[in-house]
Amino acid sequence: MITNPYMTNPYQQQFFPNYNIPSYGMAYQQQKAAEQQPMFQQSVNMPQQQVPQGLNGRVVANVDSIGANDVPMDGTVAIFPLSDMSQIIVKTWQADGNIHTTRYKPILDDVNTQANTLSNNAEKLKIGLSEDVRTALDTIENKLDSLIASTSKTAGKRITVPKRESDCE
Amino acid sequence: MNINPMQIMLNKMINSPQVKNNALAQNVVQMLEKGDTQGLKTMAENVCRTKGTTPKQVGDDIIRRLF
Repeated sequence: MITNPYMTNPYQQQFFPNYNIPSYGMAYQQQKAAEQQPMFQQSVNMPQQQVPQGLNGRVVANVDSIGANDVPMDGTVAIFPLSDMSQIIVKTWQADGNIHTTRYKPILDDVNTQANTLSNNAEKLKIGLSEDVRTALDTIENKLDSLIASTSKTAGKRITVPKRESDCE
Repeated sequence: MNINPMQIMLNKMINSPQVKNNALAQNVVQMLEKGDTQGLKTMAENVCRTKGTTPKQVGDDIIRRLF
């Protein structure tokens, strides 16, 4: 008896449907591959999509409210502006395991304000200098007087002190 | 050919961009390479102190999570 190779055994088909019908298996595999391909491509393309990385940190009321857990340990910096915008604090982990803190303070752009501040500072400096010089001169004068007085007492004779030019005028 | 698994792991870590951009991690890897256990201990103590904890507390916490 010659057996037909294309003839299928119903029992075999019942138990092993995929093995007996190769075309069905191929179609299933192709369908499966078609389903998997977009998912695979999507997963491959995921790292290429650059997600914009935001800044770490938050607005804080004062410096003490910043904790160590607020600073990421991935090498990036965390930025903490104070709520009154008087400072911006930047914190990052150092290589030795400590947190490094940098403070940024604002620079005012108003030219008039800067000029007024500068002139006031110059005047204050001038007054301060003159007061200092005057005090130093008074001290020297007192010391000189006391020295002369003590010398004259020990020597028993009076020493004449030459008058200063300012006194003469 | 003699392959050292520890060296393979270290090379992977060194070449990782996450480690390259992280001074703390770079220091850890360098100390691991040198076998500088004292340096690693000091760094761990510094990190714990900065985070307001101690190495013992961290160890206890890890053990509590495992068991």
